[in-house]
Amino acid sequence: MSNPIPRRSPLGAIEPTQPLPHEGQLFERPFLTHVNLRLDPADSEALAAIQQVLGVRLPLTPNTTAAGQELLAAWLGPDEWLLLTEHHHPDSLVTDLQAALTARFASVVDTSAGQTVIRLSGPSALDVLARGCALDLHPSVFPPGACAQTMLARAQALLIAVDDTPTFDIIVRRSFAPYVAAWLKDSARDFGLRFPDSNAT
Amino acid sequence: MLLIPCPWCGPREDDEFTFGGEADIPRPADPDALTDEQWADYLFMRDNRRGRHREQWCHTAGCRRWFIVERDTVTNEILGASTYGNSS
Repeated sequence: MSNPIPRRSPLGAIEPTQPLPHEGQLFERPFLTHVNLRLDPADSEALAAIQQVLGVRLPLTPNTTAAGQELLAAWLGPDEWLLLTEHHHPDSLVTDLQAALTARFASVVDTSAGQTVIRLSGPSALDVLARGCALDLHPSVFPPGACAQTMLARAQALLIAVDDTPTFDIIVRRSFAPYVAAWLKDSARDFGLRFPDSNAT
Repeated sequence: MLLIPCPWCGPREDDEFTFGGEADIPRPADPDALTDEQWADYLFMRDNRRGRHREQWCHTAGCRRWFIVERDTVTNEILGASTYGNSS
């Protein structure tokens, strides 16, 4: 019918780094499904309907995430969440959510193509991020499962604490991704992360 | 630098916020009934208070919600933050 256009992730040129294991990793998690969901948190019927679709209860506590078998829901605001998954196609997830929210005051937007996830992992991850982020990300105050929208190196980012390696998922707008990745690599070099020359940006 | 207590996200540095001017200025219910002078007063005239000041801030880089901060305009001390009642 038509020629399929090969899809490109914002950081398609950046391969997973292959450093020594103890030095940590920096790589993109491309082509995940990102869906922005807004609804009234006081609407318990809508929350229940969403839970049916997602298999996870939307987190109502600010700056926390809720992880299900196949999907992560991150709190973005009192009535706003980001759904992240690799198990659902954006179109089908949006369709399912819209069906569950028929006749309700809600919004479901596929933002998969507009942003990407950069994963930073390793014992020095805190130091790498601290160079461009004012938040205290130590696991004692920002444990796995916490999230925060903030500024990272003057770019807006959503940070999600994944585990206490520590590992962070950094979600940035597509157009900011090359800059943020370059900044992270630059910051990470001083802490032992090495990058193949072919990936220099 | 100000450390602004977002009612949802907690204390964050002022880089993340947008200032929205004096708080507690309701939009006139019937703008058409106002004289130009009254309308201009609503649009432009602000108190520029010395001392305790209630002002609007938006957590632009965070949860993107507007809320009210009470700040001392002399010392920059933040005296508290609150939401707009039932809004979210």
